[in-house]
Order: sequence, then C-alpha cells, then structure tokens
Amino acid sequence: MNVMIGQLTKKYKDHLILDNITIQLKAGGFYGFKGSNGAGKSTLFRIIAGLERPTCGTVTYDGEKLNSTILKRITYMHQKPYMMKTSVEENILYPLKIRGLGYEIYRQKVKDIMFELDLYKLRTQLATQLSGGEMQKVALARALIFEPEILLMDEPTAHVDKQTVQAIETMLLKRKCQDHMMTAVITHDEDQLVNLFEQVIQVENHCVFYV
Amino acid sequence: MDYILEGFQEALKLIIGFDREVYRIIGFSILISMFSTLVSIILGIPIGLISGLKDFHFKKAYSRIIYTMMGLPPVVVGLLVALLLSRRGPLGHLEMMYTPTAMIIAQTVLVTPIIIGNIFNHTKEHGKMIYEVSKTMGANPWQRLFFLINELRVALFIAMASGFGRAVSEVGAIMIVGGNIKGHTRVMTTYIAMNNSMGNYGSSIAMGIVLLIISFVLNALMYKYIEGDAI
Repeated sequence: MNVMIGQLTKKYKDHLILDNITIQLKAGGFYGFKGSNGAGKSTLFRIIAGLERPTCGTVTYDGEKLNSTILKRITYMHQKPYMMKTSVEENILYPLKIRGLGYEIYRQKVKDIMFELDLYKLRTQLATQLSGGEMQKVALARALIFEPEILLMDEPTAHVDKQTVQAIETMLLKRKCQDHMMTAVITHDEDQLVNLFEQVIQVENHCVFYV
Repeated sequence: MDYILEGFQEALKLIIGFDREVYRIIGFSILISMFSTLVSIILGIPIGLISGLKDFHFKKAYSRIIYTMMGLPPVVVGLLVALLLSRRGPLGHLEMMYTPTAMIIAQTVLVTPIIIGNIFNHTKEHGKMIYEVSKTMGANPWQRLFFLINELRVALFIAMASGFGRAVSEVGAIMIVGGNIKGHTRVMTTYIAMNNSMGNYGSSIAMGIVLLIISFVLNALMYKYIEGDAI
C-alpha cells in the first residue's frame, strides 16, 4: 500500500509540530526516520496510523482516505508497548481474534513467530511481567501476526539489549523480503540508519528531508 | 467495661440466634446499597471512561469538581435530597420522602462521584494508551471499548467495591431522607445510631460486627482480585 502525505501541517493549539510536509512512502519500502527529540517524528507516525488527525493536509493510502478497512492493514508500535494483562500467547493472538481468525488455523503461525523471536518458552507467562526487551518482541510478534501492509515502529530498539536488537532487525528484514510490507522505523541508531534502511528521512524544524 | 462485654454477649446471641429483625435489616441494607451502587455504576462508568479518554475544555476544572464531589458531606446530600422530595419541594408531588426510593437517590448522589472519580483517574492515566493499542491492532469501536473495559477491569472493580462500601456504611443522608422507620426504611447504620442513643449496646454491636464482616469480605475479595490480576 502506498502512502501519500500531501501538504500536511500539524499544530497542538498554537505550537507548530509539522509544517506543510509532503512525502511518499511506497509499498514494500523500508524507511528509517531520524531527527532530534520533539521534531515531530512520532506525531507523523501517529497521523499515518490514524491515531491523530492533521490540522490540514491529506494522507491517502493507494489514493483513498483512511477508513476502517485500511486501518486494519496498518499497525503501529509505541515506543513503550502496552502489554495486555494476559499471557504472552494471548497478547499475540489478540489481533487474530478481533479479526475473527481462528487460533487453530493460525496455531502454527503463532508458534513460528514465537520461536523466531525466542518467545515460545514465555508463552504462558503474564506479559506485564516481562523485561523491556521481551515486551518489545511480544509487541513485534503481535504487530506482525496478521501480516499488515504498513508497519510503523517508534524506536523499537531503544533501551533493549543487543540480542533483542538483532532479533528485531532480522525479523524485519525477513518480512521485508517475504511479505513486501512497508516498514517505517524511528531510530536514533546511526548504524541501523546506514546499514538497514533503503531510505532515510530526517524530520527537523517541522519539515522532512530525504537523506 | 461490663456494659461493653454484656453488649458483645447480647450481640452474639442476636447473630447466632438469627434474630428476625436484625437479619431483615441486614438484608434490606444490602439490597438498598446494591441498588444504588448499580445505578451509580450505570451512570458512573460511561462518564468516567469518556471523560478520562477525551480531551475537552475545562477538563482540569471538571476533575476538581469530581474530586470535590467524592468527599461530599453526607448530611448535606441528605438535606438537598430532602429539600427536593419534601412536600413543599419541587418533587413533593411524587411522595418519595421517607421511602426506600429516597434512600437510593441519596446514596446514588453520594456514590456516583466516587465511581466516576476512580474510573476517570485510571482512564486518564492509562486509558488513552490502551485505546490506541487496540485501534492499532485493528479493533473496531466496540472492540476497543470492550478491550478498554477488560484492561481496566481491576480499576473498575475497585471503583464499584469502593462505591458499595460507601453506600452500605452511609448513615447521615439516609437518616434524613429515610427517617429510620421500623420495617420500612431502617438500615444497619441508622439502626446502630438509634440503638446507641437508646443505650441498647447489644443491638448496636451486633449490627456493627455485621458491618465489619461485610467490609472485611469486600476488602478480601478486592485484594484477591487485584492479586490474581496484577495491575
């Protein structure tokens, strides 16, 4: 799914966050977003994910405005992901349940993703009791389980160990090749920005620049 | 001290002997309190959730009003309800004064802000994130609402239990609007107040023990629920 952002401006009361930005994110693209704190990166992602509305401007998805069908094909991972007060497995299953997709059909898929992210041994554990890195992995598994067309991640590898960073990067690269999912990641990690992403976009002074 | 010990002995006799009046009053108190708590839940949960989630003008003022109302003086509430329901009041034609209905109204006025305040507070802190997460996972509006209620279930339970605890221990307001009429509007708390003033300590202590047991059971249930469902 191609995302077209046209002349988008976002203000909170009188405080300007994003100023007349225009960018295109192509289907299957792999984008890294960088910028100083408070530059508007998270706000931009939240607008794309339908969590906030722009003050003016447009965001279209293959030419269409956001609707409930398109919303089901996008997923957004918060910087500090929220864990449901249930087991790890139930957390990962939730997006399937709300889509009426049976566990039996997706049992193997859920199992595979838990193995890939080294979560299988934690599957019955209460998700709220996991470490930060483990929560990030659960959030990623939960985001990917229903095969979204757009994945937006807000600093997924901040505050986690190297092993978790590698696991997340490996998973993302694999999905990029397999599923042609458009992935956009906010990160301050310069190594990631240089080595991982096809295109790096900088958000600075309320504007965006292709790096 | 003797009169206290005698009082306890008499209390045990009334409780173990299943004194008809005592148990009728206990049953009536719990029924009235459950009813008023239910009405407060129906009013309070939606208001608490919506006001906690949404940003709106004067939200700060709203929160201060709610927190103030959580500590409303019961006798003032009783007085206000009595002024409305008394024969000369605007709702006097309904003839609700000194009825269980008047007691439910007074208790609801006291309990609803407690439920709203508790839920508003929790929803303000965590609700937006919870709501957003369900949205980003593809939930429709109804699914988001159920998700929110499920994730805030401990907070909702605490709010409801606090509300019921407040209702069942209320005396000032329901004394004014209910009148403590035997067989009609007499509840545990008004019974205690009346018997204490008459020197019938056995009856007062009996009812006091029951009230303590109810409080203890309620707290034990809350603790067990919270423990088994970590916040």
